Amino acid sequence: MSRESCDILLSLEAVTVHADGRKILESFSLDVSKAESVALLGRNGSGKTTLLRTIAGLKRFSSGEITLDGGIGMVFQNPESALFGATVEENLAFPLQSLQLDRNRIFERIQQSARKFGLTEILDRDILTLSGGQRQLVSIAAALISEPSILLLDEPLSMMDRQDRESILQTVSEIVGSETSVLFATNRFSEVVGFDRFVIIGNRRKLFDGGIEELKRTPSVFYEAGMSVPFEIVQSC
Amino acid sequence: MLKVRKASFAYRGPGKDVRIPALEKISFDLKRGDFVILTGRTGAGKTTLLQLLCGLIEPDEGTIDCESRDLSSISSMIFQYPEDCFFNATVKEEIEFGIRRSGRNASRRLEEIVESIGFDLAEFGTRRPLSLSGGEQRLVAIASIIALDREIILLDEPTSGLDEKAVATVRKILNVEKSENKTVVVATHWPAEFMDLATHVMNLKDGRIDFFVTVADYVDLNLHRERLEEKERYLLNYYKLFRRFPQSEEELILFIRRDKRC
Repeated sequence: MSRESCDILLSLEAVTVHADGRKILESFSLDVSKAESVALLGRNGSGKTTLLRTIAGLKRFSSGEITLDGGIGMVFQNPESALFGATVEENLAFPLQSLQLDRNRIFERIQQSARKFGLTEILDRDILTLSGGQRQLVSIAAALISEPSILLLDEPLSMMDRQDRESILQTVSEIVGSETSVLFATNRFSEVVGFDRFVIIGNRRKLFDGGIEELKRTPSVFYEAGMSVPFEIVQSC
Repeated sequence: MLKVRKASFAYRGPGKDVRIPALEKISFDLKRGDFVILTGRTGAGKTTLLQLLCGLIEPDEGTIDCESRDLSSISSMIFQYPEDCFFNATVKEEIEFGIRRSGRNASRRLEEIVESIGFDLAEFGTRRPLSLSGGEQRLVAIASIIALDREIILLDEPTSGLDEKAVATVRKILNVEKSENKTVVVATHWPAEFMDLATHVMNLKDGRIDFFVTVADYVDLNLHRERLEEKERYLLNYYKLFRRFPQSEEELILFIRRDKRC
């Protein structure tokens, strides 16, 4: 087996997705390697969320093929969509239940995750009494607690303050690179500046797929996608 | 116009009689035409304060008074993820609902509002709100609240998850509200997005007011100094130098390039 094929974790081959009778993605192909960080950019309505939901198996695709080697952790744009237990602790425990761990191990994992995400103080709080940003923190912790091989993030930091945002980005970059891959959809380029790869969606297709240097050389792709060139790219000399 | 005096609010916690304080003895005034950016760490009390100001919850202690009028009839709040609250079959009906309650001329107003969010009524009017993309849904949700035409408009992280063009649309909508001398309070983690529209900045810390100052003081007193995004830093430096904000993104970028000597 070639190195490339054994390193690929997620592969989409000519995937087409419809919703409400309209074509959202057309013949979309994408490979994500192990431990790779991929930023997903595109206007609102370009299909970023649809793509992530399709990969997660939450949305049907009409043609094409998706192969994934491992488990998925997903964080939705609106944390409400994924939080259901009454307390923070229950939300962290839930993803572990299917892993058949013993009670002590589950307890340990929850404590560990709570420490990492600064949730120790609020473990027994009702989700409904948490702020939007705190709920986002809980959903990221819950998505990572079962140690998935790929993390799908859909605007996961939109309601977080700057300190939390920075510490989550730090945590994500530590986890990715060691074992986990991440596919991160965002409208804020500043959140993904350091990523390995950038994928831009527009007109239902993949318009760009490459690294930061290539992106800086071809800023016109942003116009093609109906976006403006991100501040971080424009202001660089 | 709006007077908040020693207002406190606590949420019920786990177990009996456990209270989680969200706001503690907050006092301040808002005048007609004030445009306040409300900042603070997550959990600092921003959402709770907005909910108090729109009469959705009542303070456990203290008072909130606006010329002895019913707060819930003069203010309206745009929640985090307002698109979760759609209840009409079409975009047109969603917006018309607010217009009918405002008592303004319906057909003219509908056009005005739909145009303000950059939608084509013929194309979007009959769509189901939930069939729109996330960003489009947000704009419709904001428009339907703006349609109520209330004196006080409260927004809770209105630009989270929005792309740059949608953010520009939200700014445009709020600029119109400002020109109509409405009172606007925007809770946000991205203060730079509204800095040029704002008159004041209020920062909450652990349920108390950390500072409540004019935009000029905010810049002069370096209250923004901690952990600025690069863009925000340049924006505020620009203000410090010229006593106004750049009128366009291009103007700011020119300023930055000059600063970097490239």
